[in-house]
Amino acid sequence: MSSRLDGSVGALVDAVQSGAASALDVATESIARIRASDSGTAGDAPLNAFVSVDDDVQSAVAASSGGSAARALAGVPIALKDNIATLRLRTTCGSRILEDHVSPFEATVVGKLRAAGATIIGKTTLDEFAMGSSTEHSAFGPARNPHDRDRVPGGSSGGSAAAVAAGICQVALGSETGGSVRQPAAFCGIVGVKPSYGRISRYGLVAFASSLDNIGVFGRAVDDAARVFDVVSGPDAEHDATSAAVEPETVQQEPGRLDGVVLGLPAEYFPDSLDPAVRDRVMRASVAARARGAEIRQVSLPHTALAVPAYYVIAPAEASANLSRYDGVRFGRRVKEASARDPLRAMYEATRSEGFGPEVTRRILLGTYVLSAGYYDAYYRRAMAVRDRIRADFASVFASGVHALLTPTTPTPAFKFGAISDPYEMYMTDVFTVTANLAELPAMSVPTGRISGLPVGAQIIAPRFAERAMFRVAYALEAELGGEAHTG
Amino acid sequence: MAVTREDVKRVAALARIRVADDRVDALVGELEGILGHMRGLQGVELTEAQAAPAVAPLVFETIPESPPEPAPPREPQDPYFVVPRVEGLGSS
Repeated sequence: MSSRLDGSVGALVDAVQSGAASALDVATESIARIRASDSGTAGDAPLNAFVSVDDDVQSAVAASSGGSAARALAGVPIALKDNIATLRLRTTCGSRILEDHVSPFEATVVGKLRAAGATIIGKTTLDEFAMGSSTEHSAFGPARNPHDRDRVPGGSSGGSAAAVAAGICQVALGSETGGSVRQPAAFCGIVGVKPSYGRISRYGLVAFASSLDNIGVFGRAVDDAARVFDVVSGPDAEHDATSAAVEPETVQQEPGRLDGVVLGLPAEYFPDSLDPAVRDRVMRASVAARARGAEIRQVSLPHTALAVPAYYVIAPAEASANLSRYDGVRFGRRVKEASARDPLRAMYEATRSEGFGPEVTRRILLGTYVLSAGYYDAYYRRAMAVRDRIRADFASVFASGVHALLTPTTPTPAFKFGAISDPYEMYMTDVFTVTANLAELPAMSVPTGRISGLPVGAQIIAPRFAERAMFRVAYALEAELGGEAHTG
Repeated sequence: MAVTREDVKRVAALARIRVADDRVDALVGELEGILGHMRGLQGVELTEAQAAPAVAPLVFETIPESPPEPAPPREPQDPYFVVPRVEGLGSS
């Protein structure tokens, strides 16, 4: 029997609502696929997409009211990145310091998903505290790319992307601070959506860099992601940074034409150094957009080159403050030390030194450095000025009549484990994605072809809160590209 | 503005993270490698608003060591209980 999991979210919901499929059966199969992905029986290395799996399927389905009523995501199994707080499963953030941490409350998005009838099947692998681009910094082992298990799935939401790409579930939630949804979506050949800052509540998302953090959505197809997006977005009384001012506007729609739409290609996102094969695949999306009636225009975002340096000042600075709460007093691991002089300080230091992995430690130190006296002006203040300019770059392009931008999501397809050891070289894999976080814009990655079997993503960036227009472009590209989106 | 061993030890102490002596040199290299790419930020001109101090200097009023004698409570006037006057809190 061909599985409901292999079709669309829309078809699955119809089947569950009509009684042709049961939420319990679908969730059971989804969890069986997790086990199969980790079994290594096909000679593959374990996918390791999940940190925790909800084995009590019956209760997991029951926690979503059985998924039987006429709900938007009735019976849809969904995986959550393990930095989104849940009551039934631990929330580790991929860190030793929170290895056994069970949140006393649940994230707003989780409550919305349950109310819509979705079944939470498990929590997925991530780089520790979402700091990384490959999941190689997970304390519980990296997830692998389903297209080539010797390669990374991208990060930091790599487990969620791998789970969707491997067919375990059709949709998943991730989070992103600098591209952690779009980059793994591109590496795994699926759709990844970063909302406008303020569109989706972050209540219950463990904070990394609060001015840049977002919860994002993965889907195997654009419509799958759109249906989840519509459920999880919207104002939240628990979270002041979720905007109540915007018109509630659904993104789910029928694929159509792009007549009257102007798409900008920013010159800075297609540098001479860009791999010609990547450029070629992204141009495929540009040709598809034109075939649907869009006008393509060359544009410029002149401060793009400063985005990565600014991002890697601002994000670690905020992280160094946010992660100061993990000191052994209130959360997670505590390492006691019989110190003669200052036992409290010794406990803080022992807990944090043992609890944090090398990348998190590096970023905390970097963030503390750029905020410390004498360096604040040289680094942090300048980075904030660059952030203003990047915002202004986008604003002026969008004010000139451009409706959305089309760029590569990443400079390369998925790389091999261990291929990038220099931290800054790893940070540069985010070069095309950090700008949308700095400018608080919605952006998404859609598949646009393959290179030697490895997926390539095209990124659509839209003005703030113009998610519906962004999805309009994504629907049209997907429909026009058809099978080309998943072939060399 | 090269990163020194002392810088690493200082920020590690501020961040409550213990860095083993044999890790200090490696961290000097790593942070220097990262910050080297960020020096391009220093050519960025700041506007007047961006250059302004983020926080105005704080002025704290101190509480005197020995508080002034409280005023004697006024006689209650039925049916009200009159709260003793506290100096410095409003005029009534």
